[in-house]
Parts: sequence; C-alpha cells; structure tokens
Amino acid sequence: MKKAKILALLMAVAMIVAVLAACAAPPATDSSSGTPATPTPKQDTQTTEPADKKPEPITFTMFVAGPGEAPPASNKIVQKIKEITGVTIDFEFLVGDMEQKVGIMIASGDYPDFIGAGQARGRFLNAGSFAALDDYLPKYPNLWKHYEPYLDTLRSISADNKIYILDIWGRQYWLNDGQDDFYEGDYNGPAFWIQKDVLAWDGYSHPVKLDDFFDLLERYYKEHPTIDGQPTLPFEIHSQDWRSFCLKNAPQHLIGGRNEGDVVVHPDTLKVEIYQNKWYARDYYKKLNEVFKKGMIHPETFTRNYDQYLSVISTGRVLAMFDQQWNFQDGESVLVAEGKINRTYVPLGLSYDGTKYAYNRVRNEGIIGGNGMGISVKCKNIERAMEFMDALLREDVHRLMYWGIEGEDYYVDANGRYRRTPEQKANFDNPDWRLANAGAVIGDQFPKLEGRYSNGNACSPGNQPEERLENQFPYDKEFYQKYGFYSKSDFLPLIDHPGYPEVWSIFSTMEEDNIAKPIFDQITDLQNRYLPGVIMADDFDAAWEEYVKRYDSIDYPALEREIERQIQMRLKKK
Amino acid sequence: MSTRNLSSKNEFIRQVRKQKGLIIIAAPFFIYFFIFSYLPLWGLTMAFQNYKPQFSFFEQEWVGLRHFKNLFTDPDFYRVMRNTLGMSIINLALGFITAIGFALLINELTGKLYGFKRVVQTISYMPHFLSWIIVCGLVSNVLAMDDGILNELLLAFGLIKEKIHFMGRPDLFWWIVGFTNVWKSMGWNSIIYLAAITSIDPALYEAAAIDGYGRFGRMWHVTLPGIKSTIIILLILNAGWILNAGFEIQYILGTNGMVLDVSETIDIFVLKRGFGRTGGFAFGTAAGMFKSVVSAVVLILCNKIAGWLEEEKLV
Repeated sequence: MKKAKILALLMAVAMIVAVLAACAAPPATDSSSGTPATPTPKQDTQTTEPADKKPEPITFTMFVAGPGEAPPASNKIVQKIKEITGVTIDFEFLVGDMEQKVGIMIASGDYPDFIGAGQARGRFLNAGSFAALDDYLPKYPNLWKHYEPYLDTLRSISADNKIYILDIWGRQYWLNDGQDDFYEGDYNGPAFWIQKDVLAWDGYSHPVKLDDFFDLLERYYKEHPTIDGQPTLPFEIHSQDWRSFCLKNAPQHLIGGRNEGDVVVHPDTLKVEIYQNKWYARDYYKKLNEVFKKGMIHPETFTRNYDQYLSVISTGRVLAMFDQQWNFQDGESVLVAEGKINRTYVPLGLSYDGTKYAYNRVRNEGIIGGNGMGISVKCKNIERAMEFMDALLREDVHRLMYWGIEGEDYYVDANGRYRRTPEQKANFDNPDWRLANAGAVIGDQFPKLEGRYSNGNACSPGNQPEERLENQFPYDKEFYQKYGFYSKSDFLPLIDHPGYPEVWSIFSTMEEDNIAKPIFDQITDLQNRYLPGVIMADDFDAAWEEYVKRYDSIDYPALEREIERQIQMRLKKK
Repeated sequence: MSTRNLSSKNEFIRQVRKQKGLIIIAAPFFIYFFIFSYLPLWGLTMAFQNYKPQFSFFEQEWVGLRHFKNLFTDPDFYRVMRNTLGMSIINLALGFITAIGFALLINELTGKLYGFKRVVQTISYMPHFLSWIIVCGLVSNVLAMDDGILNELLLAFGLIKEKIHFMGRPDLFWWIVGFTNVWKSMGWNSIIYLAAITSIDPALYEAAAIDGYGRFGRMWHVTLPGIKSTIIILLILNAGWILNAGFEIQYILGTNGMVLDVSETIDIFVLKRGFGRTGGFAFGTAAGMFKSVVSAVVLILCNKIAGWLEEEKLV
C-alpha cells in the first residue's frame, strides 16, 4: 500500500519534471533578445593568473557551418593546445543541407558553445544565437589588439550594433619592410580553373577569351579522350544546393565584376543589377550549350552530389571547371598527394572581349565583418572561451597550429627563418597526415594571425616565400617560370578593394523578414531548376526564352533596390 | 440533480480505488503519450503566428490563417502535391501487386522446395533493413552512365543505342522511386500475406483440386479470397499514408535541378520551407498540419468505404 503511494508520487514528480523540461525547450532565452550579458567581476582577476598554473580541463562544443573533418583526440597539436589552454574542442562539421541543419538548431535552441557561422551567419544573428562580446573583448589583450581597429566593422553587421561575430580571416599583420608583398597567400577564389597539363600541352598558352578557352579544351580533349584509362571530362559544372554558384556565378566575372554573388554592381554609380537574365548570362549559357552538344560536358555533371564531384576531380580527368578553389581543394589535394601535379589547377580570368580580369583577386581590406565565428548564448563559460581564443592568437600557440613542433614539423635555419625539409613538406601535403598531426583544423575555425610574425616569418608555411619557391614541386617551378610567374595567383591581375563588402555577404546578414529574401529564394529556385535544362536544350533559344519569361514574372527590381540601399548603408557606417 | 452528481462522484472515486493497480500500470503509457504525442501538438499554434524563435510564446504575433492562405496560393504547393500523390499511388499499386504476387508464388513452393522457399524469402526481405543512404548509393551506381550496370546490360543486349541518363530524366524519376521501393520492401511486405495464407483451411485446397482446379485456379479461387480481408485492412492502413510518398530517396536522389520539378514531395517542401533559408517555421507547420488533416480524413473515409462494402473494418 505504502509502496504504491510512493510509486505514484514518483510518477507524478517525473511527469511534472518532464513537462517542465518540454516547456522550457523553446529557445526563448532572454539574453538573446538584446541585452548582452554583463561580465562578472570575477573574470578580471582570471586573466592575470600565473601562466604556469595548470588550467582546468574543459570541453567546448563547436558547430561549423561548413565542410570539414574533426581531428582525432590523438592529434599531437590538439594535445599540446589542451596542455596549454586546458581546452578540448568537440567539433561538429556540417553534413548535408546547411539551411535545414541551421534551421533545426535555431528552432530547438540547442546551440553548442562555439558557432562557426559560415554562410549561415545571418540566420544565427537574426535568431539571437550569439552572445554579445563588446564588454569582453577589451579584457583579452591579444583579441583586443586583433580587433580593435575593426570594431565598427564587426558591429556593422548586426541590427543592434553589437559585436556578435568575430571574423576569423582578414586580419593581417605586416612589418612594412618592403617585403610584405611576397607573403601574400595563393588565390583560392572564383575563376575558370584549368589543369596545368592542358596549358603546357598548348605550349604554355594563356587563354583570355571564353571562346579560346573552350577551343583549347576541345583540342586537348580530341587528343586525350581518356586520362589514366578513364574518359576525360573536359568541363564540369557543379550545381548542388548552395554550391550552385559553380553553375551560376561566371557571367558576373566575364564582364569584369567581382564576386558579388547574384548581382552585378556598377563600379561608378553603385547601381545593382540581377544578371541571370541578361545578355552576358545568355551568351555564357549559350556557349555551354554549344559545348554540351559537342559532348564536352557530361550530363551527369548536373546530378553528381558534392562528394561525387570531388571524387571525379581527384581522378585527374576533369580538365576545367568554374569554381572557387577552396570548394574543390579536397579533390585537388588528392592529386597532390598522388604526385599528379600536372593535373592540378591554375585560375584563368576569362572575358568575352579579351580583357584580362582580376575576378576576385582584390587587395585585402582587412576584416569585412560577419565572416567568422561567435560564442553562443548557451556557452557554458564565456570567460574560458574568450581566454582560449586569446591564447590561440599568441604567436607561440599560433606557430604550433600552423607550423607544428620545431624539429619535428619544421626547423629554424641560421638566419632565423622557418623552413621545412622535403619530407616535412610531403607530410603536410598529405591530407590524412595533416588531420592526424597538424593543428590548422583548429586554427581555421578561430581568429588567427595572417601575414607575418614579429620575427618576420610568414604566419603559415604556405606563405613563406623561400618555402614556396624552394619546395615548389619541380613541375610547378618550371611551369610558372615559363610564364614568368611566381605562383598561380599571378595568372590574375591584382586590383584594389572597392570599399564595400561583397554583396553575398551583405545578403547573408540581412534581417530574416527583409523583402529581398523571398524574391531571392524565388530566383534561386528558378535558376537551379531551369539552367541545367537550358544548357542541355536541343533548342537553346526557345529554352532561354521560356526561362527569361519565368524570370520576368518575378519582382526582382525590388531586390535590386533593396541591395542598393544596403550598400549605401554600409558605406555610410564606415 | 445534485444528489445524482454526488453519487456519481462517489462512484468515480470508488472505481478509482478499486482499479488503483491498473491505473498505476497504465500511468507510464499515459505519461509517454502525453509527453511525446500530445504536448507537441501545442507547437501547432505556430501555424497561426508570425513565429520568431527568439521570442517567447506570449511575444509572438498572431496572424490567423495567413500561412494557410499563402500555402494554398503557392504554385509550388500544387507541384509538390502532384508529385506526392503521383509517387504515392505508384508506390501503393506497385507495392501491393508485387507483395501479394510474391506471396502467392512463394507459397506454391512446398515439399522438397521448402528449403529453397526459406532462402528466397530471407534474401527478399533483407533489403528492408538497409538504410536509404545505402539503397540510394546502390541505385545511383546501378543507373549511372559511367559503368552503370543497367546501361551496360541494355547496351550489350542491343536494346538501346545510347546510354540513358536515368538520374536526370524527369519522366523516369517516379518509376525509379517506385521500383526502388519494390526492391526494398517487397519481401518484407509479403510476410504478412504469407502469414495470412497459412491460416487458410487446407481442406479448401483439396476440395478445389477435386473440383478440377489447377495451381493458378487454386490461387485465384482459394488463396486470394482467403487473404482478402488482410489485403483490405492493409489497404485502409496504407491509404492513411497517401501523403507519405517517402522522403529519403527523393531527398537524396532528387535534389538536382534536372529532376527537382518532379522529385519534391510534401515532406521535402515542409522541411525546405520550415527550416530552409526563408526560415518559415510557421509556414512549415501550416503545411505539415494540412498533411496530417488530409491523412486523417483519408483514413476515416477509406474505413467508411470498407464498411459500405461490408468488408473488414479497422475500427
């Protein structure tokens, strides 16, 4: 009798607890709706604690809205960083569709400690997922030094003018000794990327016109119908999900634009124009249609998912594609690891009329705002999180992540320069080795140093000039020498920054209910659905007309005006 | 009046006391259903709000039926409904015919072939346990243009002159989904029919044999009528799922521009709109709610129809 009573009581309690838990689940935390959490007085003393004291171990979770692979716990740099900071990062990289993954995360309010916002920055911002960092930043010397010149830029992306996202790229440190230019990194942005072997075969030519480019591919394809026994794929067009920029973004560059995304901005008037229905888009797709009919674009290119796309690139049989290097580099690094250097790619800045365009090779303007990560409102210990990021900006810790351990991964020569032996470099070129032994996978997700250390060395081996020259593969060295170039970046001219952020980044931080958003969804949907058909159409003109007719039924001028307004707003804020 | 109330109240308390043990046993299930099936219904209120996740329930803006109005005026909605119904009907028809046919055929393997029957049955229901990811990988390999076995076979037999780009053909997509479903679940679905067949009185077969019916005659006149009620019950049950044309296979194989028009089902639509870039949690909820209501109505309707036909009813 008594037992039954107790049992019933337990049940009732369990039920109440469960109900409360379920009710608490909606992400309606107060801190997200505006007022930033004020730092507790305790943390002021924390930063001044003696350095030799072993930090308490803590594990932070991190979601990264981009592809990647978490390093194993046995990774030696991961362990070193844990020794220094006490912090272990439990990564979750994006798998599958970003918008949906992020949507579910926001709906549940179940955030990790760190959020690598990537392209989902706007959605996280608008949902109030980030803790405001304005009051924290000044307390951490390295972070403060890193961001102090850019506070307004960091704030400019949020509606309430607070700092939520810390840019992880773009903050460069220079010594102004006349040598800085040699430390610029390799171009990894949008271009028509072509295999070096194709250019070499053509007597180290340098096509500039779109027609010449496809003509070269055709000639090469005729003589090389197979590569390593498998059929050659002269031109790939990747078109899955948000990566459909490979399909759609070329026309803006062909008339000399920077990578704004879905619009072209007139450089003088700052007038904005949607271009997927304009002549320069038509001419591009018409060219692709022509090339498709010649059998140079495999129809399966449109049904390949991202993994399949990388895998065909890694076989070395894709001659060229329009893409951004970071998007296909996982495929390319397989080619490097297998020593097929002649099958790796260089960028071409093609145009219709023979002008050599820079595409996105724009002089660095520092931090652009919103291109990074933040601390979530659910972070279990913001002070420790900031402390951790502050430590990552120490030169010694940074060196661990990007150069490795002295004597093991690199050595210091008589002049104090950081160098690597061919074996050490070979290790770094191997993606499997890197995952298990290098720290860049952590560094890439957090604020980091770029440019040069105070002792003059480059902040990452890839940018160390003598490294680049000496350890350049013999093939590459000879290849670039034929052109009188120093690296693949030199295929594109370098231009100045226009002063406003790229439109796609403006776009991704817009308010959720901005009028431009549904319009943008409509045109994205239309483009993804129709363009493959247009490229493969028997009758191009009819297919194009049908597509443009649909396009014109969308109110896209409203989107153009809205973006013009947004650009003006950013220019004013500066 | 008041005395009656009082007595019924006493009666209630007396009943509760008497059945205390039973109530305690039932409590966990009650709690389970309450938490996992009834509490989430609360979320349906989102469909009537301009829902924003950063606000609490009381700060949300109520918008009435706006999302439903948007839903029914959205051209995409009719497209995904067409796709859902199209694929659903293909799945239902193919699924039923193949599972019943398979059960009938395999049931004929008796005597010495009994061992063979078991092997076939086991092999045929194995794919049911494979994840859709694996199945879709297999499908796209089999149907690929480069080294896809189907294209190679068709070429070798001279049935086609040029390789077919199966995964990029909008007219084939529904059938690919249909036959993949058949491959995956035919064996599994036939189990229930086989079980029903075993309950048929063997004397009926003997009588039919004496009446001069051959194998197919017995199948037609004895086996099929014998499992008719099972078939109808399953049909009613499945009709309730008419708006569930599947999700995984369309999502994995159909997200490219070439077949997007015919591949999106209502589930993908709800996911895309609800959690996608436009971030319409509310809109997605409205679409999901519509789906549930239709499913319930169809289920009740089919049940009614079965009743009129004086067949087995579900409830």
